[in-house]
Amino acid sequence: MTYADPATIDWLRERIWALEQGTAAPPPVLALGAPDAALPWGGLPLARLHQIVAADQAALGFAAALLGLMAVGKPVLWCGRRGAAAPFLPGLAGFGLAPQQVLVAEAERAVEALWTMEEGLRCPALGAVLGEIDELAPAAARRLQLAAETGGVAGLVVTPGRATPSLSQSFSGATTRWRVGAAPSAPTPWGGLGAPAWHVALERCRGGLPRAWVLEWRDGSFAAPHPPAAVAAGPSLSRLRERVGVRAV
Amino acid sequence: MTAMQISRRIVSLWLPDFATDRLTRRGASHSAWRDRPFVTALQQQGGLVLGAANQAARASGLRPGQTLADASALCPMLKTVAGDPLAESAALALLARWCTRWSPWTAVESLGADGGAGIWIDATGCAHLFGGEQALLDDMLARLAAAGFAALAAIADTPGAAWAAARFGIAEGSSAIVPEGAARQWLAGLPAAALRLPAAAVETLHRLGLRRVGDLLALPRAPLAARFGPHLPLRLDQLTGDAAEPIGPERAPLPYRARLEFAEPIGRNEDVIAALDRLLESLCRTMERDRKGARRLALTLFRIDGTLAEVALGTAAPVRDPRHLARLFADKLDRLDAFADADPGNGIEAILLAVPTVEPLAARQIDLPTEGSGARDGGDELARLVDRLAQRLGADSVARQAPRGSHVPERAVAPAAPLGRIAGVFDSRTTELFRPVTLMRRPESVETIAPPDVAPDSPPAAFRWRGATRRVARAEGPERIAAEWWHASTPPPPSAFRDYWRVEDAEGMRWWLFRDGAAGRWFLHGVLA
Repeated sequence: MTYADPATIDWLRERIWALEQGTAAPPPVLALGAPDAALPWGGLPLARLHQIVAADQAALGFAAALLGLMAVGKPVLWCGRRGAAAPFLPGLAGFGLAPQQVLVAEAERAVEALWTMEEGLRCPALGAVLGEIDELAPAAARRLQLAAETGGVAGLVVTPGRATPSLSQSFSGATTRWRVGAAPSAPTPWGGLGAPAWHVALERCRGGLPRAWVLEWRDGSFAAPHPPAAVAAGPSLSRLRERVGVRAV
Repeated sequence: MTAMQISRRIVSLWLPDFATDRLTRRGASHSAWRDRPFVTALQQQGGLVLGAANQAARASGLRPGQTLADASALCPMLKTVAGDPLAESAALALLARWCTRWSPWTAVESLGADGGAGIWIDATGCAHLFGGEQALLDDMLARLAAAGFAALAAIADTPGAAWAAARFGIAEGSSAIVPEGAARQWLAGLPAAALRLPAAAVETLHRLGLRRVGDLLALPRAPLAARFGPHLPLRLDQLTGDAAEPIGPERAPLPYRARLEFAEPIGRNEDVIAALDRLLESLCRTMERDRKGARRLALTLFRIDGTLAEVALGTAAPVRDPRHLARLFADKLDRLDAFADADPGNGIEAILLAVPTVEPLAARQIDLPTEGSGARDGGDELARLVDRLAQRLGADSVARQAPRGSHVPERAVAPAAPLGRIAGVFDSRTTELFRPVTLMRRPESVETIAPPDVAPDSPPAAFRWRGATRRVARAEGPERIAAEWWHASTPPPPSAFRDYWRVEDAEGMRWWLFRDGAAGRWFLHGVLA
């Protein structure tokens, strides 16, 4: 045989991964759709820390959607800042997050917020932890990364984006760093708002390809936005049209 | 008393100079006056009179109740401070709590205007822990003396007998033991005043020749009641135990409590934690036996000088894992400045751990780790996490949101406990992507660029929020949310409504705006996904 069988290749890949990461097995991976091809794991690894740099307020919506996917039915911890706008469970319901499973913690100071995240990431009962952090220092990121690996919990840090990246923004200890901002939604025949959409750029990922996409939240997962023609043919849209009384052309 | 009953053993502590000792003991405000004439003065009709006088003052001939002018004439070197009955009473209550180190049942007995004070301690079944009754009384007096309080103590079957023995029956030394069942004989020789009677009654008895307790005990009760009222026979019966006299403890004693005394006072945090570990081990074993778990715990640190430091904590779910509880306490003790002001001479000499609230917690089955066993342990892990977060961030900073069945956004969710079941879900058909991901604490006023009065039911063409102008590209609405008239006592005006719009600006940011029906102004209430 001149080629190895796929099982052997997979086994070797796992070995190489383990040598690189110092862990026994690769973490489970979350499929995101289009960005999967740019990620060396073929998706977003859970049980790791991921950073989302918020270009604007819409990034929090993207993070919430990601949190819902990462949770896979387990409880999640949302660590916010006291006095800031709080997560609103009726709005999170659309991302599959039920009131039962969302634990909201409010931290007064940045140190407490990081501590809260770390505690959450070490707790295997949780599915994922989201933290709104003002600035993620490399040392803090490293601690959170270790906690996520120990507890097997996915971590999401949302940091505000700044025009000029500081040192800690150019390097971070998180496994991946994304820059996320709002994207105009696909037009709808009735002139209303389409499905939420975001500009999503993979900024930093070892072994990954820095690229950018527009992702839309549709039917419970991320998807590439429909071109307008495809929108017109969408099955869900035809149902909507019947409801609003618009006839198909 | 029937033979079946275990006889009670009550300690009466008598602190004749409590009011002055409190102010002149080591470390107190007037410690320099401990051995010099020192009195407290009380404002009464006709001027200041002496309240409490310390031993040196009494030796100079001063008596409580004298006018301050007379006292100053007798003793020119006298130091006088204003008496503070409220502070005295608070200090006595604290001292009574400090006495829980010997028995869980302690109560303040009395605080006299002359500065003397009494404390009850129900020592039933406690004495053997301290090496017998004499050793118990010796320990009490030694520790009170170290704390700067002169004291006398007596133990007897009834509060009345102990009281009489402490104040009138101590011949030498400062403690007395009235043996079980021997109150009648032992106390017969004491003066009638030992019956806790008003001074006028004692005087009347004296005139009648009834000077000793024994004289009265020998008389039939009915004529005594007829002559002196029901009070006197009651006191006699309370002395002998024929009438029950409960002592009301300040706090109900708790079934789950453990105590540790140190041969040498400790002052370091690590030592306290090491001692705490031992108490937690033993309490958690007891709770395991009873299938209970702790919801609230209280740790009391007893200092040499008779003061306390207390640490309380609560848990989100019943717990009896000593390691978890030790971690929760460690977080709190770190921030307790019990040690900052603890000079080496004023260390901690005993600690007491109590569990005021327990809840049923089933016995843990020990099984082999199998596939899926992680899921069952998840609840436990989560409870620990919630406890740790609540200790550090504050109990109200960790919560969930439960549906409340209201359309008004501020009322749509209610804070819910971090653990346990939450009934109901948000209806994803009506809420999905129609409500913001984050809701502002309060709606923020925005400036609309195109005046909304062009058409009352139209969204603004642009709005200005926090210095940035956003052109509205698309909008959906209005969704009218009216005031909930059934919550108000008076019907709200018809204009009490909000017209909510979901608005997307030119960059794709989506906002939840509303126009207030009454004010006609626009507000931003949240950011949509």
